[in-house]
Amino acid sequence: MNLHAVDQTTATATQIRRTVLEQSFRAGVGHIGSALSIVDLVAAVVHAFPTCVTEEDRRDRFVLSKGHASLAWYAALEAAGVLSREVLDSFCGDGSTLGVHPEPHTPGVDFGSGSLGMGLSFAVGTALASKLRGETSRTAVIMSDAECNEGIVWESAAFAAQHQLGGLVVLVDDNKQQALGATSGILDQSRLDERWRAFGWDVRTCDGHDVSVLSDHLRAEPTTQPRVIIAQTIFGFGVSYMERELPWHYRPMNRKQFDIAMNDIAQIDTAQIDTERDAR
Amino acid sequence: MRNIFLQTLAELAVDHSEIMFLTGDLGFGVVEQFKDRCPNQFINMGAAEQNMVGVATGLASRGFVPFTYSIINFSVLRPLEFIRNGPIAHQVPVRIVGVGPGYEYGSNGPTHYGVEDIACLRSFGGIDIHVPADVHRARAALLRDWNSPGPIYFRLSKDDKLVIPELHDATDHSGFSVLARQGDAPARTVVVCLGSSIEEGLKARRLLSRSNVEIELVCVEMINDDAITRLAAYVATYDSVVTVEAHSVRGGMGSALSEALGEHGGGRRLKRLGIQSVPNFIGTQKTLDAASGFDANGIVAAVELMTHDAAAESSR
Repeated sequence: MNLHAVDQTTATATQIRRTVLEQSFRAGVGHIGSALSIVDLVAAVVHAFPTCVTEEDRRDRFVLSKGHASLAWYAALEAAGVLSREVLDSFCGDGSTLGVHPEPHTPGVDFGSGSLGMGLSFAVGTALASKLRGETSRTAVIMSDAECNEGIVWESAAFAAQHQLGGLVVLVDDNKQQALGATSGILDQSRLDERWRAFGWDVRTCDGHDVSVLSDHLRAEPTTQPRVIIAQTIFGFGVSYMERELPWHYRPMNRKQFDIAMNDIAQIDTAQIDTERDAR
Repeated sequence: MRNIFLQTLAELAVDHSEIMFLTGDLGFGVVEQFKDRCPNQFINMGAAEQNMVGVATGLASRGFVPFTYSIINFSVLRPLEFIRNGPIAHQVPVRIVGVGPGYEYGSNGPTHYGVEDIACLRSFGGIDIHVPADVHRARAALLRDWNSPGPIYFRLSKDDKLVIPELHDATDHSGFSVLARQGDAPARTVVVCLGSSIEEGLKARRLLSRSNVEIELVCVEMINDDAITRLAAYVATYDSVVTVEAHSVRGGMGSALSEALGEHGGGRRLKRLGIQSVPNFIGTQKTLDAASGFDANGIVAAVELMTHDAAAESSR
């Protein structure tokens, strides 16, 4: 991935992270840790598959299957000009079209999610449609690691491999936390990569906050195998007191917490850019 | 009516490549006629009905018209939430095809009975429920509506020979039909039958005519708010109403009509025949229908009771 593209993706991630904090603080709602967990994944997706935020028929599709992190996607849609600032400012307000989970019929939302496990199944349908039509359009999905508890995920995974849906790429937000605790103590998924491999998928594991590596995996030439990227993420990434802290699945921020959070992510974003520059 | 449905769908699919047929690994001896004619539009999804509906929703969002096929319970109840959050929430043209209403899978037992599907789907709204009464009506419904914009549920009998000649000269009210009667003696009771239950309604009419009791017969083949509202207005002109369906009495066509009739303010006497509770034994469809009291004898008994009650009331 070239330098310019990495900078652009990082800049988008920075913008999404800020918006996530600003909007969740303004609306007084939770799910902040879950949204911060996938910010870099979302930024990588919108840059790797830019047509997913357009209205073309043959465009790429995107499904946020872990719907409770919708704010990260809404922020990306605002960054892409699909949602206006005015609409975004209605997030979680009375009469708004933007709720905690992505609603059907919202611009930029291909599938209304919220019930875990359903998004992949829908995405398999759009990937199959592309294949049947002989198109090269792709379908990207972001799902959570805990979502892999749902049996339907494996119905969909088996079908996608059987039908060689190479246009399908799934990012698993592997933050190792779920609603009531660590995944290891609920339904252990430490060998998630082996499970997907056994189902016939092209499995890649990487740092879920390294947009350069994420982008490389997303942009790699499709094969006949569907691809899954097990993205090692940190729940609440970027905010010191939220990282790996379960209560931030639910809590809203107060003013003081918001100020600390904004300061934290400013430093994280600078550090991330420096690290990426050094790595080159 | 599975055969005629698949045969008709294959005819359509030859000219319309957007039609896709998805089966949950069921339909031996029936689905092959589609697969042979349109192999590229046929997918066996495996025994994975939730994914079948999810994939169908994705396909429909890309301009395809997918039909998902299984036994009623596996077509509707197993993937119920997928139907709600998928084709209904997104209003895309997925066609859910469920085979074997009521007790048609008799000796297979309660896991295979189609008892609550209408109640579930009716509570969602946003999906038309088609219940064709015979093979000709199944073909006509498919030809007419396969390409309509929203989701559809087709509730199909397994009976491939079922023909109700009386439907041909019935008066069509778009969603329900009023069957012609011989003679002009007034009928005070209307018997409203869902889909192929009209066969038992016709038998009941013959039995009742022996004791000079006339009934009006209505066959309902579509359940949505509009059709039920018009049906309620129609039956409100009779003294009493009996509904007959191979479905639970809780939430089915009879319930729908009761609600609409109640709001219509008619104050009509109404009896719902159907499945109160699934018997704790298996048997043929005929035996089980009789046990639940929605065969011809059950209809006769209900009409006689209604007639008796009405007479007692008017003599007070």
